[in-house]
Amino acid sequence: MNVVKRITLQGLKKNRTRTLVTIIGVILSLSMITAVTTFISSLQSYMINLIIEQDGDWHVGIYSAPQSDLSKVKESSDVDSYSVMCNIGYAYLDGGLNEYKPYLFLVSFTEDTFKSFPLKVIEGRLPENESEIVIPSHIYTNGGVKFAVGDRITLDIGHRMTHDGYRLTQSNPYIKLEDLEEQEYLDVFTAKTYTVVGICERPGFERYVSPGYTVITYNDNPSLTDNEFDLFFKVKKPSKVYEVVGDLKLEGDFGYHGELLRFMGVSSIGNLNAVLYSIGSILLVLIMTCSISLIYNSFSISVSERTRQYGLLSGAGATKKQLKASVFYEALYISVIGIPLGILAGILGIGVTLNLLEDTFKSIASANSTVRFTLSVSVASIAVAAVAGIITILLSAYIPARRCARLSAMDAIRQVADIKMKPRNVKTWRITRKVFGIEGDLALKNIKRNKKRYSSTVISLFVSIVLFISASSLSSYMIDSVTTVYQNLNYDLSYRTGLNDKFDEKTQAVYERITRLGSIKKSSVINNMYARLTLPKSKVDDDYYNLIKSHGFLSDGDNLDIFISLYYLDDVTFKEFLKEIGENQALYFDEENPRCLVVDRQQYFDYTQERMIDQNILKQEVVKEIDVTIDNEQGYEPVKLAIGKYVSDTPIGIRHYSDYNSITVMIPQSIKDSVFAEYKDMWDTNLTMYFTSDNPFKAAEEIAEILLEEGLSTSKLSNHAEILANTRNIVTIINVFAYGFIILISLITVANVFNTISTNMELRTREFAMLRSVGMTSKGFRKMVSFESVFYGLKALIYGLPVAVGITYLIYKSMLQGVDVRFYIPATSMCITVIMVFVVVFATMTYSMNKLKKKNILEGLRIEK
Amino acid sequence: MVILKVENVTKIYGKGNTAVKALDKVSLSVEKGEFIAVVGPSGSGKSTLLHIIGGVDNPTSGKEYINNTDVFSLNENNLAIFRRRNIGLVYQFYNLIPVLNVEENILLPLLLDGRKEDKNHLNNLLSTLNLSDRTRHLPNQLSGGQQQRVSIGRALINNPALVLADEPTGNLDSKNSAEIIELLQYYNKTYNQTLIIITHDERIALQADRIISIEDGRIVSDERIVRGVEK
Ligand SMILES: Nc1ncnc2c1ncn2[C@@H]1O[C@H](COP(=O)(O)OP(=O)(O)O)[C@@H](O)[C@H]1O
Ligand SMILES: [Mg+2]
Repeated sequence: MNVVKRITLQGLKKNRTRTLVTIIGVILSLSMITAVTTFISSLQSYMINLIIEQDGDWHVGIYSAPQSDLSKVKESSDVDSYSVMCNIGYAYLDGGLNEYKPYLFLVSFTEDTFKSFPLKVIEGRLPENESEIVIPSHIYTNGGVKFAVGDRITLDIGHRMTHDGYRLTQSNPYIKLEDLEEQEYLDVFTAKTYTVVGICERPGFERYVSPGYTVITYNDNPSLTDNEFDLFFKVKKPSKVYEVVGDLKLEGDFGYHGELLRFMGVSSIGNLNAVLYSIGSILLVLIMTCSISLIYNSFSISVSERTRQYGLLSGAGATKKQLKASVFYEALYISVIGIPLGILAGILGIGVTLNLLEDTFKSIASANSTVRFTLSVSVASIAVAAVAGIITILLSAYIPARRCARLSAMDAIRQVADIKMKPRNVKTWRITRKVFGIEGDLALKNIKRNKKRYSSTVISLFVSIVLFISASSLSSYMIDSVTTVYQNLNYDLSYRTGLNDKFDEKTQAVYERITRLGSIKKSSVINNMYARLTLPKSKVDDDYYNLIKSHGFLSDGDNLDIFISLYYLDDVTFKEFLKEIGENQALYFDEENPRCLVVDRQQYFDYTQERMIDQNILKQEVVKEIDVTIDNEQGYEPVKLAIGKYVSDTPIGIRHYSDYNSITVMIPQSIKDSVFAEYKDMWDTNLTMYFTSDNPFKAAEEIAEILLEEGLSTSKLSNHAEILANTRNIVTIINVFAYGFIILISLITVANVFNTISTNMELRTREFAMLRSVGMTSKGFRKMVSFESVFYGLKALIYGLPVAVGITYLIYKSMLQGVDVRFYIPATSMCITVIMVFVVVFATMTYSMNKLKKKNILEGLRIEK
Repeated sequence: MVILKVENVTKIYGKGNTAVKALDKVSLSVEKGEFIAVVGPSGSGKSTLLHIIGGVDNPTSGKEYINNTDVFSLNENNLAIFRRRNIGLVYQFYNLIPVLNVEENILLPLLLDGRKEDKNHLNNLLSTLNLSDRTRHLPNQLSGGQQQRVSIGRALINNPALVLADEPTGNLDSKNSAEIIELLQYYNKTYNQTLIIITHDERIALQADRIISIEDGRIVSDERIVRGVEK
């Protein structure tokens, strides 16, 4: 081992604590980098598995393939595996509710096909011979027809034909025509009896527009005729897939599995990988920049501490190259330990995170998938992390190495670089000493003296302050943007009927069946239309009038036009609500003098005034009656409604505030039927039912069952609780990653600040001892050190806080393009930051001070320059 | 008048096998205004004795009185205050505060005490130390001799009863050494300050009123110099 290496190694050993803390810094930064790369590789492999689950595991598909293509694929040495899917034909689905999916579509799989298109069996098993079938579950959930395992069904199987003789396939949607002559028909060629042996999940390869529910049977050795089967194959080298297909000279109509190839990084069109990679690179650059700004500090400390040693070395004839080398040896030793540990820690960290968040992720990615989102470590992800880590450390070492080599031997011995001090460099104000005493003055002078070294600490603190606040602002804005949309709903489930206001007996019956469910607590049936209302100035609240005037929408004295959201509710709900708010029920059901309830409350953020508006429109003590003007072609007279009460609580399904420049008016259904009889056709097409429930998930299932039994589609049933749960999941994920990032960056900073401050304190041992020997008391000593901490922290905060607020503002600006969010000063995170900064600085200073105090004065004095 | 009394002071460094007895039952009594030179081979315990006298190190056993104060009965805080009011220390390595200029370094004990300086006293001191034109300089802008003069200034600013100097000229050439000793002697004579110097330099030792020799942690001789004719 040469002497430079030996000195380097000794230095590292001598300063054990600092070396350790530096290594911890490297480990933290590497674990962050690795977390990013392995998260990307995990996401990729999850997406690939998800796509395989949905669309099958194949690269190229030939539809209605000719036999000749099959033999070409079979013989090609570039093909890894292939499978065929035989199209048997269509049969009518008896009793199907979905008018666009009237068929069953029969296909037969071979052993290999089951591998290419993995089916998820929910119940029973896969078919094992030509007369067994597996039925997809959506025949029931979508088509409303129930099959049970063990059922035997006889199917009349045929081809779908157009009237002019074309055969139709699964890619031709079913089109219902008025003219039955033009309508497609089924040309039955055989009848066959099958046994249902299993129920499976909807196969991903069945497209939504396909008119037949896919039913799968088994035949490992099908007799293949031209164009009666689809052929799928995988190539050995996915990256060569286009060349292989070119060489094969296929005759059939073929297509690539584009999505899969894209995620494998083969196809470049609309490459989602590119998005992932570019986000990943931005994150990596960000993390690396922080890490370098932090780790470089550690190197520069040990360099300046050993400058004298290097000086002696260069005095003894060591070349600059050798000196530089010694810095890089140090980098090497630190890397050898730090990088592998960091990568391991990163993998472990992201592995645990993914494990804990697996369900959360799945629920937002694809609720009914069984593909697990688990850790997937690729060679590339580790290689990228390692290279990024090495670059980080090399760059961190390069800066001090250059400085070290620039010094002349004599300068190095005298350590002039560190103590280049001129009187004006340590000038302080007279007032400092007056206010803070000699201790405060000394503290300030010390900071000024060590400007260079301290500034790197201040920069580290600054970087973390900015990152901490911006990251928490970003996450809170993201959370705001996903949550605001769904806040303030007073129901758990809703069902839009799409019935054109035909609240007929059947709908009524369905509604009543649902309300009788044990899982439903409250319910309502609601529909609405829009109307207008013109108000003279005297009837408008003064503040609101002025607000609208200030926007330039009207001049003083003008009438104000506002909108009315006119709602009717079913009588039962309406009566119940009246009871709740203590109103006389009879008054509201009087056809001669119709009465309504009004919500008159504006709640929104006004961007020109930059404030929250919470305001009523009407002068409520004056307005006792409204003329509801409905735009119509017939020119009916406006309807007069007496205002029974202004309410702030609302029945379920109606918000407690109104749309912009409008009021909400509520009437019972029977009044709508009589008083608004003329406007029958103007109500919204979607009559909506609202429900509350203590167990919305169970309720949703039960409602779906009722709807299916009644022959209604479930697609307009929405579970608000589920939406909320999804939102919460997104929030959790954002939080976990944002705070993970913040915490790791903070830890790196702590490590770095610890190193700088404690080294600084150690370097000043002698000075401290001297101060004590001339009679500085422990109290005075503590005072000085505390002042130094405060000055440090203040400096970092003075620069950091405004910059962080600025970045928060930029984040707000960019979020504003997508969603309505409000700008706010991130006060909470700023407070946390201020506290954290002082805690870290104080703790480190106290730690090193106590360490110094253990040495008695003499030991301090004995350390020779 | 006895200003300093050391009684049976023993100092042991370390424990067990590695224990070193740096001082072995040393007793000593010093009159106000005395100029004492302490001599002895390296490692004999001179510095240890001086530090214990100066109150910056604790004896393992024994007592010390300065101006009738039992020094080691004081708590840490009071000891620090006692030190800055009664004792001036000068080291071989000047131990100046690098961020403070010449004037501030000299005034440090006063500043720590929160006391105002006496301008006259300061100016006299500065001119005696030949530092009047250097008051705003930082230590690293001064020569070794100048730095040592600053540290003497700091030791003397409080008019301490006791000035202790540990090889104050060890790092200086003979011209500078002579100047430093002259200065210390000047204050010793003018203000009747008590001065104890550790030195290896025989010429310096011979200028003292009394020479104490230490060997292996014991006082082996303690003799007064009689400057016959003049006195
Ligand atoms: N902090 C210490 N720990 C252990 N031994 C010490 C310590 N300080 C001094 N000694 C030992 O005490 C003895 C006296 O030292 P010192 O008073 O410095 O001698 P001198 O100043 O006469 O050269 C020496 O043997 C020295 O090694
Ligand atoms: Mg000594």
